[in-house]
Amino acid sequence: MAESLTNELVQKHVIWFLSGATLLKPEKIYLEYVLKDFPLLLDDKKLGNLTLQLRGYVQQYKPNATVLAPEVRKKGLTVSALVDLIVKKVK
Amino acid sequence: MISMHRALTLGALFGALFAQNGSAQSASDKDNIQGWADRNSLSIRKAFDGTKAEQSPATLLWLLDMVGDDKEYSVIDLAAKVGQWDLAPRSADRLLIIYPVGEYHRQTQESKRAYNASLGLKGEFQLGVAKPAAPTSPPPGLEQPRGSVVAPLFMVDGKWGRDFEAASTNQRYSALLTLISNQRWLPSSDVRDARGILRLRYYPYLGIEHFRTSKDDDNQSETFATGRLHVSVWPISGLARRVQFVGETTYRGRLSGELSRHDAKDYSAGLNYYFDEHAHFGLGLEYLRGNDPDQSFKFRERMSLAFKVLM
Repeated sequence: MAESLTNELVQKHVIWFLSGATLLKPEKIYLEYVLKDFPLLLDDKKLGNLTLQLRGYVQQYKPNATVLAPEVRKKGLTVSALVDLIVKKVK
Repeated sequence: MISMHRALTLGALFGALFAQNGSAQSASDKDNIQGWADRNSLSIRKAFDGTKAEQSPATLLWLLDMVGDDKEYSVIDLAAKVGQWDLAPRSADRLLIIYPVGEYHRQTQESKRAYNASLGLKGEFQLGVAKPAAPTSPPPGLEQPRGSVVAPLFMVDGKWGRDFEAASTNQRYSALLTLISNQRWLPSSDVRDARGILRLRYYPYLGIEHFRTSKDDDNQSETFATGRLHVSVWPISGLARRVQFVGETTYRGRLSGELSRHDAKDYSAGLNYYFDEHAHFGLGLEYLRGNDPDQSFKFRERMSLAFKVLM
């Protein structure tokens, strides 16, 4: 299943999860945005919930993989870096 | 006015130096320190007490008053959080995180002397996951999102401290429930305008707090049923990244104990103006009124203007 998962598709999925946490349209979420900065401005509580969503997503493809809250709450983490992190987890 | 100006200037200088981990150091040293801080999830703030002080930077201020009774005094409000331990790292249904915090507060102004330090352990326990509320349907290959409309998040806190000024030891335990949701207008969700600009986010809290103070052989404690509302508003659409209003009100209904022997109320309102679009550097005007839980619920009312550095 993970073989059919391209990096581009993972990127779309991660951005959709971010859209679901911020209520911004996916096309308005750019790779260079920092999760904790404007316009996303996700705080640690919201990032904790996002961690759980991404954990569930990753475990669909790699049941033994996981995503940790400190990884998602990391200072300065960009959308691009989050996509890279999830790509590594599901591949 | 002159002394206030000096205080602000020096406070800003200290704050900026501290927040940047020593800008006088070489760039590589700074990167190393920042890298270490990031790897260990180090955060420095004014306090980690569950209130909006957690969004305020540490304060290191020295003031030389040219005409006042207190010729010279300093204020230090410093809190550090290091590391985070994920106790259920594989669970996709619950988040169990604990982390230690340390605080140091000192004020040498004669009329407001304060000197205390504490160590604490905080926990975040989220049971269930709040489902995404994206304005579009899931892209190909993604199943319908799981989760509920609202998920409960328990914020648990234990703090042990020493008040050197009062020669007493203090303990504080709390368990507060808040709600996590991504659905518009519900707690923690983002309320955005038609242009997608974030305008409002709020968190309600409800729970129990227990305070205990020991001095010599005298032990006093008090337990409260606590309700708190924290609201952040970005009121000006064109300046949404720069102008922020933060309001918080806490009501503590006394359940038992003899520490203060009354209910306690606390209100604060702050207006922040940030110089940069990422809201890292700014000026904050804050009004605070109510019973101070760190000073045995003594009444205090004050207004402050501070330079803010949030990194």
